[in-house]
Amino acid sequence: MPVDNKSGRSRRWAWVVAAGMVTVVGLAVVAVLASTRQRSASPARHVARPTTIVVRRGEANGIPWTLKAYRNASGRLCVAFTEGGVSSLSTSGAKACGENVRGAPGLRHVGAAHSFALLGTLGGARSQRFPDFVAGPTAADVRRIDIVQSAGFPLHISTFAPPPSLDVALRFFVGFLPAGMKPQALVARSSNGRVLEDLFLPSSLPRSAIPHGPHGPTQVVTNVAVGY
Amino acid sequence: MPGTPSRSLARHADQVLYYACAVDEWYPWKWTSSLVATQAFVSCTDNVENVHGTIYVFRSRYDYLIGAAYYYGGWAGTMFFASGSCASSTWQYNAKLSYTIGTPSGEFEFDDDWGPSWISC
Repeated sequence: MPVDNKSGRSRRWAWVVAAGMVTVVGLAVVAVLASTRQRSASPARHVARPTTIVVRRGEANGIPWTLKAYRNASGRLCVAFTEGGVSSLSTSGAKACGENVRGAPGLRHVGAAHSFALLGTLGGARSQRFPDFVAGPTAADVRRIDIVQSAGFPLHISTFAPPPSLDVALRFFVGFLPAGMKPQALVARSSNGRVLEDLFLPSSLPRSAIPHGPHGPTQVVTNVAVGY
Repeated sequence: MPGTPSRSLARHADQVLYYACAVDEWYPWKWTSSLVATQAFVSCTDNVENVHGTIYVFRSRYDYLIGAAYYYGGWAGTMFFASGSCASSTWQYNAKLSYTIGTPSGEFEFDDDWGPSWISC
């Protein structure tokens, strides 16, 4: 009988220990599952927003400007040039996304990519002080953009690298046209001056069908973009 | 045997699509005894498929938006017009056009602003 009592106590202890272990393991499993669910749920609460990077700021005729860039939801690069620079509502400017430039992210184009893309105002007759501009991304090997005009020397615009935080293998350019300049072509050149690509602008820019009389428009701005 | 040119300008020209839009902008004017108005006319090259956007008129630089209008139009020409209440004392009024052109290469956005006009109602 004592043996039986001892054996019974041992069995009871064994059950207690086993039950305790099951409880501990169970709690651990529940804790791990909860932790896993929490971790897997975390990303859904944070929707990635595009981070806008200021590529460069400057002034033209005393008026500030900003060149900004970001990746859109498709992973493509968006480039925006704005007069002013803080609020897009109160500034002139231009924006394009997914331009087909060599090295640009997120492109799924068929065919050759290009050395540069262009956004800007050309041939305008703006009465405001802000000059006509050209801006855009270039391939990494483009070190200069020349703006060729019919008379006079070409305007040389050096390209520059964006901040590393933008994480693209591209360069950018921003240039301003002297009043009255009529550009004929843009030429992208490498560091040794080799022509990588050129773009001839149309000889006639679109004009309004509305006659400019005493009650006509006070100014005309021609916005340009290049697509591929 | 003639040398091979290092590049082909013709090939580049075929691939490049150039888009341009001229915007005629009217400075804000006193439209009625209590309203000011502004307008803009957008005309683009033939390869622009559509034009849409919003025109705004502001009082006191860009502090007070007093009128706006949204338009969707064709490439051949789109007139944007907006009006808003005119204050009794003399204020400056400014206008802004934000428009998008739809093209075979995608969409391009432009913003133009103009003014001011000093108007009293």
